[in-house]
Amino acid sequence: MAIGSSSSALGGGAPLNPFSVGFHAPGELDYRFPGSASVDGLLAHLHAGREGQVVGAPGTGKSTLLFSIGRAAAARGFELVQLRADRCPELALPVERPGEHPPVLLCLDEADALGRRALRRVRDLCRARSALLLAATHRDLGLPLGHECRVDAELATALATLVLARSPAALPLVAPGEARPALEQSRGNMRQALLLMYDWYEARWAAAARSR
Amino acid sequence: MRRDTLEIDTPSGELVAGSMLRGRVCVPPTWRRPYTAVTLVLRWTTEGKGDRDGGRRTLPLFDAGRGSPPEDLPFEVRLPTGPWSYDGTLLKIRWVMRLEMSDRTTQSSVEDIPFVLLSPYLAGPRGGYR
Repeated sequence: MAIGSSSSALGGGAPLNPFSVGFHAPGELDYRFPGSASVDGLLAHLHAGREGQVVGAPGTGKSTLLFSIGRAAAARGFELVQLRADRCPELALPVERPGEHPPVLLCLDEADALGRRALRRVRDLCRARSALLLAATHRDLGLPLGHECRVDAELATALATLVLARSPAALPLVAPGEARPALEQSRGNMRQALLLMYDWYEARWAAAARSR
Repeated sequence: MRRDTLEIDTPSGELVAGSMLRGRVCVPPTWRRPYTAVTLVLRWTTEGKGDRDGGRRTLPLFDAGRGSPPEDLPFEVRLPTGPWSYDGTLLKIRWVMRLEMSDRTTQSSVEDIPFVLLSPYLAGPRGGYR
């Protein structure tokens, strides 16, 4: 038995939709840098300046980038703290300990949800604890720019190809090239584009089921 | 349903919620030694347009304190009563089973095998929904 062949489960949707959020949520895919940029370059930039920001419109991969940076930093011996500013009323960094300990990297998502004063407190706390700060934000927060996230049609198609390849059992009801119109309809928001492709997949599954 | 080491007594991979699951495990020679535990792990996850949710049930097939497991290990365990497999437009519930063998220091597992946890109402001869 393979996933995708179940016909007896309740419900009338597709057994497997490759565009399900769980397959492409932040942390599931690696961030794809344009040109010569890389995780290592961004980490080096961050190490030099002690703090930085990742700026981009909604759905352009900021959270995905934070996960990629976090994974790379953890592999290089950093102690990682990942938080969403809109979901954590209190910021908790690892307590100070005597002696040698690994450097701390705070990856703060949705940082523009913080007020100006709250952001200053976070920056002061990071400086006091010698922690690096990387903030993901929709607008400029006055931190050194580490990276600007943007999605174009080429990247959208590549991401759709990757998402489809991760679910080889799924029927080819949506083609990677359809990421381009999906991105246009979603006004550059890749998350919305993938959800749109999810809906297309379900609609075509239902149409195919009706014709069977 | 059969894999290299796990054979389940069902031809289709559809299992009725709350029913008894029968099968046998072929324990590889490397795991036929004392302190080996054999466990069937059943996991469910949601897929769809929202965040993932999920849970797991562990069903011990052979306890670590009972000596070495035999090469041919038949088992009979009761399946969970839910949540039932569901293929909705917005939400799907998927089940997979995995066989785990472990001792004090190491653990190995067979690949996730997908299955359908069928509602008893669908499975009966006069199933109400079908």
